[in-house]
Amino acid sequence: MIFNTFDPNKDIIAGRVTRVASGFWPDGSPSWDQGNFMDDFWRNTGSAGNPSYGTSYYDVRYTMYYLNVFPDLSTYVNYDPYFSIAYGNFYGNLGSGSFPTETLSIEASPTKAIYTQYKNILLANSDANVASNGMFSMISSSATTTVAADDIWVINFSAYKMKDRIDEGLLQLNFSGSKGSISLIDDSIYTTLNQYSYQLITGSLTNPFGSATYEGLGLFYPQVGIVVLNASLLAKKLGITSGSGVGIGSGGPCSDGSWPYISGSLPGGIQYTYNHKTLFESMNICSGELMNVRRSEYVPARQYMVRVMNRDFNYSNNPTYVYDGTDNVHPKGQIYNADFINDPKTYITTVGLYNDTNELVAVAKLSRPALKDFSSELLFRVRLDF
Amino acid sequence: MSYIDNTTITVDAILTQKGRQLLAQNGNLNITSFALADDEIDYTLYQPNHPNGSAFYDIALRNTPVFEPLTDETQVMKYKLVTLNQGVTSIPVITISQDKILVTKDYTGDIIINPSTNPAYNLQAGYTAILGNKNVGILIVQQTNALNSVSNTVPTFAGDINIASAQVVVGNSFRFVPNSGLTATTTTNLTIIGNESGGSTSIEVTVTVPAPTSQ
Repeated sequence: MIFNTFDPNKDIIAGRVTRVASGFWPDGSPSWDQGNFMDDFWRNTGSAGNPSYGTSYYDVRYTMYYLNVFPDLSTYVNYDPYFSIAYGNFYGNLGSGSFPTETLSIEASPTKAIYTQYKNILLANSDANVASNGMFSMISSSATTTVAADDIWVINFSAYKMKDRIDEGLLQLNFSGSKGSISLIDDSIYTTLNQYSYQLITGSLTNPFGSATYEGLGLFYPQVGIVVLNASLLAKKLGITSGSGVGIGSGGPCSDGSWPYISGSLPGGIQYTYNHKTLFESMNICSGELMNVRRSEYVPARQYMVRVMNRDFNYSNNPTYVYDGTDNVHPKGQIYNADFINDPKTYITTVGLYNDTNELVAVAKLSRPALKDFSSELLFRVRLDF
Repeated sequence: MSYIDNTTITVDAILTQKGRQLLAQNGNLNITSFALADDEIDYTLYQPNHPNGSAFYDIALRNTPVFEPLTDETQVMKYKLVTLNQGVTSIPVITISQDKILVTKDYTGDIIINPSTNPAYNLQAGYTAILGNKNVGILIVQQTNALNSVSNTVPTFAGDINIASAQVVVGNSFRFVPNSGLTATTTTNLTIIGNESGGSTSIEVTVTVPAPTSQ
């Protein structure tokens, strides 16, 4: 017989979900040099218009709300973004700048729209992260003291790239400003795991502090892959004010002595308005700063225990296993190797899974041939992911 | 003293095109059985006279590189392993009485294909008959198999069968009826596969179209 039947009670293991974790960046790398990041802020800007609206204020572009970030030139060319950055303001203000469209009839209110949409999906009425006035609330200085953030930066990881979640305890973000550089990690190593959200604290994965020091800097939502930063506090801590920190030279906060050039490349008149671009520059200016992100995917799998008993599958239909009858000496079908008549052997390379009408629905290959004879038994665990 | 080797070989399976199609249609695969194959192996490389001794007889077989799995279910599992009683000297061979079929398109006699297996095999699941080009005629199941099964996956080989233009039937015996509407002499292959033994045999089928008689 060429088919053996599975015993569904013993041989088929169903209902198991396997967590598959890998680095978030290209080729599964867990860390990436932030100095290599590229953004699409200028991508759709032609000779006329600017990044956020075209020749008319009514030609609103997505970069008014957010920008996409790419790990390197290759992903930029292929337009394969890994995360996006947005700026939101509870009151619809624009931070320290003003945006021309807001003074005209269009009133797109991009910062208000951003703040509200993240508030809607991340905060519930009973959530510890929501302040009495409805703003994002973050722990500062002690577990009972909180600070409400009326403006936020949001880092939103690509759902396609992050699979099912961004893993807590393995996230590190780096920012630079005129006052220096800081790294943020989540506080999962100091608290209970499997929470819906974690506080962001200063520190690094390679050299974490002995205890968490809360400053109300931000929140991390692993299941949805979103980081919410307290924009005002973080900017103050870094020395970032829109339009400030201009200049490239020695004595700056980066390891090579350079400074963020936050507004240096932006044309006059709009340089104060793009706070999401400001955060990108703060992340991107220093080369050598590694952003650590790990993702996980939950893969439903079914396992089939292929039990090959000693008496089974010791002969083959392989044409080299037998004579073909053309030599007029050996009849067609006679076993070629005389040794195999008393001690037949086969070398398994492939396992095929069949349905009840003998249709081949799944196939697995062994990494190298497996010997089978009458004195041996084999057990293959065939895993089929969906 | 060493440790007992209780290793389980773990392998990852991929869905074939048929598997994906069935999953999309029915939502489940209903996997009930397995088979094993050795498509890559050349058994003539087994060397019972190897100078280094018996441990090296099968060194060429054990080190044969193995292909990655293909999703085309007709291109994998071509040579299946079979369970037979110890001591047999031959693998079951499938035979049919015809060594070829050569008929005109208007032939109306019975052309019965009655496969048998020596030693006896395929008694329950019967045979799968594949007519490579269904334009030459039609295969009719003369006797169904004991299981009354109607379909299975047919491995194909380069150039001999195009499943899209082939006719596949399952049974114990078959009748071939040439296509009376054929406009040109056509040759194809008829392949018979044992559904239990996995062995196969193939013959040529030619349906001729006589030249029109001149007035």
